[in-house]
Amino acid sequence: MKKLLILIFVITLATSCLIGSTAINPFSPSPVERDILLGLRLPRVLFSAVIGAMLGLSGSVYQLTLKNPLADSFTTGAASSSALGAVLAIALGLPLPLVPLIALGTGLIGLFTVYRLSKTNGVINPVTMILAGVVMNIVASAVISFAKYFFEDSLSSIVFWLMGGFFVVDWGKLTLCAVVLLFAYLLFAGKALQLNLLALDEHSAQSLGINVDRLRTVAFVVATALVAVAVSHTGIIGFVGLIVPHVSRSLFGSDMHNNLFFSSLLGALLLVLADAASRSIIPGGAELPVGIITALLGGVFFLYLLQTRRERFWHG
Amino acid sequence: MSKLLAALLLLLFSTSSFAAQRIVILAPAAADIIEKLDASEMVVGKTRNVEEFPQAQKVGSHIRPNLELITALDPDLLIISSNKFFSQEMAKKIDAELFYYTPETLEEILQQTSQLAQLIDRKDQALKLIGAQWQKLKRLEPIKNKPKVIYEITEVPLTVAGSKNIIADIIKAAGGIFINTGHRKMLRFNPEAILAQKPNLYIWQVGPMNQAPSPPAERGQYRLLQADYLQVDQLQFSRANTRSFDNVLELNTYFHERQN
Amino acid sequence: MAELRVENLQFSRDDFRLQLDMVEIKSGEKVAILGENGSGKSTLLQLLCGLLQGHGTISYNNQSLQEIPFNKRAQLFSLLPQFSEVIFPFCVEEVVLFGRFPHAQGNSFSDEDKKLSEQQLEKLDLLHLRKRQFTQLSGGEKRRVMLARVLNQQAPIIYLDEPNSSLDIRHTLEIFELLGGRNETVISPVHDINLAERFFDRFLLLKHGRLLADVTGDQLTPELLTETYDVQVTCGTAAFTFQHQ
Repeated sequence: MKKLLILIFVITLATSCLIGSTAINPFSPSPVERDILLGLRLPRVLFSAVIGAMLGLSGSVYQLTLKNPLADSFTTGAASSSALGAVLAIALGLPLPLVPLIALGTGLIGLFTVYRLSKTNGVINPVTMILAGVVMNIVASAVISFAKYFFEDSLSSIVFWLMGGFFVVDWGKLTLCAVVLLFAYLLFAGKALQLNLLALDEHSAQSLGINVDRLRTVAFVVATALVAVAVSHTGIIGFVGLIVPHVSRSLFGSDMHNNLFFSSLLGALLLVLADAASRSIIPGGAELPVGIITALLGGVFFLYLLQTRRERFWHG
Repeated sequence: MSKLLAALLLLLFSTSSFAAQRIVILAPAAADIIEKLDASEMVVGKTRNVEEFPQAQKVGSHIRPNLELITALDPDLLIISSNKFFSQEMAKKIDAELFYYTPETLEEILQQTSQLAQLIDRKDQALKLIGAQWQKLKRLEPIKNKPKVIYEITEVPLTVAGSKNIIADIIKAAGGIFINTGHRKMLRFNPEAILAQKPNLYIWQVGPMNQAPSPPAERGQYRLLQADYLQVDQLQFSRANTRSFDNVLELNTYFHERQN
Repeated sequence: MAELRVENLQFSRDDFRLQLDMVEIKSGEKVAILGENGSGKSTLLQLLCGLLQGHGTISYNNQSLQEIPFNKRAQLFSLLPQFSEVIFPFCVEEVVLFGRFPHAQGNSFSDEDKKLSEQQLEKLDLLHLRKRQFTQLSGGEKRRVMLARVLNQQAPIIYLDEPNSSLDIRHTLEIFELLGGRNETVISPVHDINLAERFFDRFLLLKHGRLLADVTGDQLTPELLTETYDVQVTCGTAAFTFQHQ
């Protein structure tokens, strides 16, 4: 199953390199076609895979560490606080290369705020954290709405940005995100066994020799950093982090060894497909924001799973 | 062209009983037309990004007009760009004539100028104004080597002008080929589609919508693009009014110099 | 040598106070903690496990609990909390295997760990459930799976917070007999006094956060229990008695 899925993924990657506004003949490309393929298409396909994996991975870790099947980059406030920075940067007309940096900055500030709020007596409370995240979300949304209202000239930029997409991809950004993803994945994979135990109640997990609070803190910070980096480059791409971990849990079990891997892989697969669709649905080069497609694809599949395999999702 | 002629004929021979005295402009592009029709003193209200008519009160923005302020001004003519931001329901609350200023081509600018002139009883001025614009187009140089042109509205996310944008007609009139991107005013666009279209000229606007774009020539994704880049001012280019005709002339000159 | 030693333990939260001057528990003892609701049984257990922080000394083999790192604690004692759950659908086998975590080398379980887990499942008559989702089990089945996980930890001290809650009488007897036959120290708050009397050999009686008595089986008198629970306790023949077949 694992090999089959990897094969499907590789085929999807290769195929989606050939899908887009311009048809490319893979066997004898013209110079322009080759330039498009290598300079734009390939980095973008790989980038969408990396971002999808980042979102899937963060969702998988969030749901477990926060003990909540609804936990993802939205409920923890990471996505919206990153978006806040990007939106303000766009609205104030700061140089565009700064946008991801500022988004990352506010994302980390949001992370720190939520983290501080949810820490009582030195211990992180998952429920408080979700609450703090949701409130963070609301506050950030309010400021974003204000920016939309006040900086009307930037309205369309802001709205398009919030709908998510792969705006400008180059090999440098791709490398950066790939390194962040790899670091986080290896870190989590090395702690897969401990992460599993977080599915137990707190006391049981602790009595098995885990410093629950420290593990939860590390997991939360790294997962949020993943989201902040991803969102700062692509805008808000919803639903990947929420749905993909459930899907892979339902198909491959809850063991984090598997869930980390399959959440990343399925997240990458979903986003590669969604971006291929966003590039090609409208003929002539116009693009559909990719967030719309992930929500549609992911949402419909999720509803199907919810109907057919509900019991394998969550029992709380 | 026939539509314009019909409008002009109507302008010459109609006798309108209605003549507006108090105008509120909610379509910023129309401000220039009103000014050129010598009707500045009639303007009692305007949106906040209209620089003309210092005496007029600001009534919010064109996206969020303030109904109370508008009502208080007791206008008899409202110039709006669409019902998107100023709905029929809002219009019903105000006892005033409604004029939609929505030109998508140069011809429609003149046509709507003449219609507007009737409403405010400025027929002579309209004839002169329309004639002057017409004259501008006569000075155009023929362009043999027509450049293919794309027009960037914002860099992030990348959006370009579509065929319903006045830019499209300006480029065509100036002797260029407007790359057909889609039947809208603006579209979210794919950089690789731009490469594939191989434009000869890449116009990028700088202004409130695209505040600090990086010069496209320096952007990695256009490394492979063999095009000239031309920077223009958004406020000068994006509004469909008499400035559009000057823009045609300027672009035409640029095209002409470029081909030599 | 005392395996577990508690001295001058004090803990307070809101208007509840727990105080324990001196308790020593030797290796292999089976200790039941008795007392009414809110007398501090679970709190004491959590203090002993280091899940709550109090004042005073708790030491295992003469080493202070605070100086023992988390992963070493798991090799000293295991805990079955009063309410133990698993969110997300793990299967029974996986949950029991969790108990091997303190012994796992690196990031995965060895074949040895898996074999021990299987034996544990067999002992608790759970083999037929091994592939089932934990979340779909009945309350009693869940309790037994969790107990299997705790025993799988193979710690010399086992803390069980009301191990027989939601268990039927047959499984209760099975489990207490199983525990009685093992070498580990068992420390367990129990509500059923008759069961406690039958399977444990030492009793800590708590009342309002204080140690009322620390007695062995023959000293557990009706008078003492009357004082502990504020109900009239007499010694007589029960309507039914139970014996494991």
